[in-house]
Amino acid sequence: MLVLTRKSEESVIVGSTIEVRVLSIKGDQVSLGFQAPREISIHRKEVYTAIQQENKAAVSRGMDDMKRVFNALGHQFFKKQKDAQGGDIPLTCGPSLISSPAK
Amino acid sequence: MNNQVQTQASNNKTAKTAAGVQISPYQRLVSLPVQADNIFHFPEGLPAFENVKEFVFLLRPDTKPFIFMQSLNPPDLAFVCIDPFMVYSDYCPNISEGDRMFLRLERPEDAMILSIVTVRPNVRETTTNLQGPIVINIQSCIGKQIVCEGQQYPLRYRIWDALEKVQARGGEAKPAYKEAGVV
Repeated sequence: MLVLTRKSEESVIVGSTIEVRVLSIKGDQVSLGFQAPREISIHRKEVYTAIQQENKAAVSRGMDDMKRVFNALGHQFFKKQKDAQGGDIPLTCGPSLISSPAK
Repeated sequence: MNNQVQTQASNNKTAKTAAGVQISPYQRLVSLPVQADNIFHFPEGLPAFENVKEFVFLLRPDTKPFIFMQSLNPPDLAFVCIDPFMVYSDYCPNISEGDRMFLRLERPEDAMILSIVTVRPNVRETTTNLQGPIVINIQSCIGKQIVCEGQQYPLRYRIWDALEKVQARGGEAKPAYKEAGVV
């Protein structure tokens, strides 16, 4: 980790487009200002970390999860399915979508 | 129906997508073939999967209202998603200007919003992530998991009650946008 020491009103440049400035320091709280292209997201780290952890927990382990859900919903899952294939409909994207009729 | 490119899938059993990616049916969650215009690009991947940049979104009639977000590479990574508006009727995630630029979103109706579902050992504790919804632009084929930081939507919103209600009406999904071809 790169360590720099800054005082109030001093800045750091990340790459060529991101500036982080120390706006004020009150006790143990630092107020930081960010200048960056709008497409670059900036978040408190704990928020990002929480989403990382939730994504990891959410990774699907296969159709067993769906079986359990539908069984608990009282719906017999895969009852008629001999195999897991067929019937998948992928979403389509792209400019052609608008001009083509509903699929 | 979809203008399906004939892939080299035979009975047994690795399918080549139009993009040339091999996906083994034993690894993936659902069967494919996919075409180039089924592939959504996630330039930043997903939090915790920052290097996974291509996904397809799949519907199966027997698992609605769930939608599968399937990675192309690695082929064994997939997420279960749901239309968050179906389980949280007042859901109103703020898509920031920066996120709109990232997604090249020109019209609000081009945005499709899904939330990732975490199925738990006790299925009644299944939740969905309303704090970090998936937003995909069906025009530009770009996607991102955005963070609704200022909005206090829960990271783990319990959806079981809503699922039971959906099931009671026959599993009918209320898709956000019909143009996307969502049934």
